Amino acid sequence: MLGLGAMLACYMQAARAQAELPVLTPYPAPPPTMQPPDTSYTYASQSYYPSLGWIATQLLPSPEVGGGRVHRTGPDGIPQDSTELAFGLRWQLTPLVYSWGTNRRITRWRSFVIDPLARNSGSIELNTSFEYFFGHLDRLIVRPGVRATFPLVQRGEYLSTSIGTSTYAFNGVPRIAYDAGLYTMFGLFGVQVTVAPAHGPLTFIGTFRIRYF
Amino acid sequence: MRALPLLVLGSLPLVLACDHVSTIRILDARTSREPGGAVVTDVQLEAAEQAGGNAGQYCVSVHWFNPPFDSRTLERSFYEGEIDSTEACAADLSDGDQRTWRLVSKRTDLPVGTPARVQVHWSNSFNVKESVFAP
Repeated sequence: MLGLGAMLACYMQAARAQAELPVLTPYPAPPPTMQPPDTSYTYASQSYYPSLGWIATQLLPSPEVGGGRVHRTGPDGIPQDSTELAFGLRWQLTPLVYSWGTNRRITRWRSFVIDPLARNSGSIELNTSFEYFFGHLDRLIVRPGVRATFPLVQRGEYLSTSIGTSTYAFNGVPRIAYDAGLYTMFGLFGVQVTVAPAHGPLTFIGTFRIRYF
Repeated sequence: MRALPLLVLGSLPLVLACDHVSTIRILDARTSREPGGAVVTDVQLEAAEQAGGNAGQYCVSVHWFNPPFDSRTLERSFYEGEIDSTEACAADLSDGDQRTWRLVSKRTDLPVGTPARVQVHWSNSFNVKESVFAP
């Protein structure tokens, strides 16, 4: 009986001592448990807005040369034919673009602020250009029109082309013009030719187009 | 279906092109006096025709009046009370063409400062230039 009591006291002493031991972390430490990666696909439509920088770039004009045949008859009744050229400056504004070259999950519509990819990867746009011609023309021309742009190389970032038509008033008479263009460097620089076959004094216009957004 | 509105908008210039519009405007009118006393008016015209063709029949004229002349007077081919007028008609102007007509007054006694109305008349339209006086 005495022996049983001593064994119990010894067991309790050992259990107390074991309970007082510091808790040690396992070695080596287990690898941290990581959350599985998020494999869901999210996207957001762009929200371009007219910033001061954008406005500044839109104020940059594209130089151009326009001209055509001029037929003059003096008081003496002798007619003279000549081809006259005039230097001009053109500013452009694009109220609306529908782009079929952008990702299908984001909106295909743009207004005023047009990212180069949207325009040059394939798009159709309503645009308006304001151009002032010096020389024998000496006037401001407002030219609303429609233009389609098609990518040629690297989704249009290297090279794209466009065709379009526009209308304008000259001496109070409405006119029709057609244009074609070739653009490079994300559409930043390009050459545009505008032809108005039925408009003698302004039959053609060659424009070095500068366009940023 | 979304392409339909764009097609309609794109066709708008073609629709506008169906109705040919023409106009003739007066670019300049300068007066001088001949040694005999007649007043010479050089009238510079410019034609515009939407399809690039002939602007049609037109008449350019100078009408002299006793001062003062009311510039709000309705445009006509002949004015009551005019003291002299000269007119020339032709159909020789196509789109973009310019022609200077020399119109000489019949009277040689128009006093200095006599007001005139220079006008061009085509179809049913007039373009006029005021502030022209005998030198």
